[in-house]
Amino acid sequence: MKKEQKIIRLLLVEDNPDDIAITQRAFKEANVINKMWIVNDGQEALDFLNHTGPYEDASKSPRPELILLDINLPKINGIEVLKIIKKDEDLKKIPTIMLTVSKKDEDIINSYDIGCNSFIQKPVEFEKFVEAVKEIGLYWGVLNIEPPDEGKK
Amino acid sequence: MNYKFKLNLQVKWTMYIAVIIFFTAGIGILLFVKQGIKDAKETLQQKGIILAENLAYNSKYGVLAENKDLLSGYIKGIIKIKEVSCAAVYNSKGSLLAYEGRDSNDSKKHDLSDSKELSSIEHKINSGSYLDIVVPVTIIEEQRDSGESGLFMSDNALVGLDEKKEDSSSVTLESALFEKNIDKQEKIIGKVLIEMSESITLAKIQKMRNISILIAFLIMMIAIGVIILMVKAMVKPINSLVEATQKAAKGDFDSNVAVQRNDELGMLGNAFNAMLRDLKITTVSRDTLVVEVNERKKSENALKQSEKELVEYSKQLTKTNKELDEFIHIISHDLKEPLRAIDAYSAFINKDFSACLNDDGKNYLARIKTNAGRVQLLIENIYELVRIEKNSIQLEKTEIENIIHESAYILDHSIKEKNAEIIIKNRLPVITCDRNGILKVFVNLISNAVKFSNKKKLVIEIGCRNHDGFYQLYVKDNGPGIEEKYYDKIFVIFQRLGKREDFEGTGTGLTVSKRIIEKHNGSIWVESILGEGSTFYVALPNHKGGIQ
Repeated sequence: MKKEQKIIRLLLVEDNPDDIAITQRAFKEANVINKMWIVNDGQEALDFLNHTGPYEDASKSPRPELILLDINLPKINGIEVLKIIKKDEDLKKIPTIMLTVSKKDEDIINSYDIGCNSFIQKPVEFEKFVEAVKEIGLYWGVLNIEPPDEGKK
Repeated sequence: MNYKFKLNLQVKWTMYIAVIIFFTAGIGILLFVKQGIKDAKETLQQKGIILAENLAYNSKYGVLAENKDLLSGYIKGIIKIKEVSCAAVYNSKGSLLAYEGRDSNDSKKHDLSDSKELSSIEHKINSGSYLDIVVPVTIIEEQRDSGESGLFMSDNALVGLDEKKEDSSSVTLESALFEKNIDKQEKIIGKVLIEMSESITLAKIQKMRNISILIAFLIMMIAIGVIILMVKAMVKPINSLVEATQKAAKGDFDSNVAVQRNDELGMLGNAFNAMLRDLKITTVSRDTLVVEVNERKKSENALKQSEKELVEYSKQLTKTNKELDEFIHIISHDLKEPLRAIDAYSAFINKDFSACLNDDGKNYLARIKTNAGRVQLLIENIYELVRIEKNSIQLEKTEIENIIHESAYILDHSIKEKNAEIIIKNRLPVITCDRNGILKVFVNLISNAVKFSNKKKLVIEIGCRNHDGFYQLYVKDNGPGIEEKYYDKIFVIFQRLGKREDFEGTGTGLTVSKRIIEKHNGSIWVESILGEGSTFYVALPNHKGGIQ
């Protein structure tokens, strides 16, 4: 399995430092080979994706292959960020996973309406979270076929 | 509608009728007087002609003999008649033979000597207050018999003039005589004149006219009096009608019109009284109606008010619900995040520093993890309970047997761990219910049975019986059983039974199950024998309509 697995370029949009630490460790323990960029709020996420503001240098903000998006975010919340991403002709092709602690019916429905690619509840137990990350890596890193290069600019 | 109107009507009618009477009477009197004058004049003329003819007849010999004294005697006799103002006799040459008159100076006026008309045989009537009648005196020239008889024959003919055609039979007789003697030669030997004074006749007529005008005036006065009374009598019922109408307009329907007549007015009065009676009834019912309408309006307003309040209340409720929802969500989210961190960091310590930890340290870490798990379960169950309360159930046809299989699949791990066996006792029904909810109930019940089992071989029996319009599903175990005093308490949130160590779980599973079943209009209860096992019953209505 390791051989088949490639490096996944990840963008983690998360404001809670504990969550960032837990997620990073979970990916490590799950053996999902990745390169993870971390942004702390919705605005930063959009700057990163659009190469604006502090991310003007495109070489420092490469296009991610997967976005892990928290919902409870400062400045611009996850749902709004998702809305902007999915309205963008280019960015909408990047698989975006809503990754959140609580599963609020309203949030789930809204996210799918807007066009999220997956909605995952972060389990409270760390071991279960590691399991979940393993499956994310398997699915989005191995199983899922991303759009061909011509789709990217 | 004031009093003037009443007077106006009476005066108007009186005036109209009076004017008509005046006109009629005036024209009548005028025609009557005119006819009277005409008749009087004719009578006067007739009288004059007769007198003149008599005189002419009597004067024959006097004229022939020119005996003036004889003639004067005749004339004096005639002049005694009141209407005759003067009389004269002329010979054939026109010279006056005799004259008598009331005014002797008048003789010249009647001097016919120059008149060419002397030879003509007609009499002349002067217009004016005098009437002159001239009649010729004639004799017959050729005499068959004696002169006397000839004379007798001669003197009638000339009197029958045109104006006399319509006159009496005597004229016809004279005409006949004239006819008889038509071939005989007449000879005018003179002329007589009689002047009739009209003034006396006219004075009479004047008097008569005055009297008749007076009588007419009196009759008119009486007539007007009668008319006034009649009009008054006629207007009276109309007035009382007007009065009654005015009263009725003010809402007094008790005053009837006195009806004592058989004519149209009587009918009108009767009709009006009938109308008043109807109006009274209608008004009474209208008043009732008005009261009713007012009451209805009141209650309608009250209804609107309470509707408004209800809407307001409903809004408030929706808001509160939303706020509660938000609150629960925030609590669960905000509690879960630190819980995750606790669990994760415990795991990090356990992994990274396990070499540094003795057994106590590892034990403490394990306890931290267990407690974090408990809190998490609590949060999730509270969240679940809120969700159940908030959301309505989604009905669909559900095979209960499928539900049991699915529950067993979900609980597979613990079932195997506890060496449990699930037996489906009889055929399970298909029930219209909220599939996910009912699944949760059975997962809960089976998991409880597994969780609390203290036997080496756990047997869980599941079956169904029909009872009184309900499907009674049961989950029977051979576990420790429950004391009767806890039968109700176990369904109450966070109730704990016995010692802490004896039980896992949170105590919300049965509460959630109870709420789900209650939402189906069903019920859930437990029967148990201590040491032998418990049976949980779930009763669901077996007809669609029984489910909300």
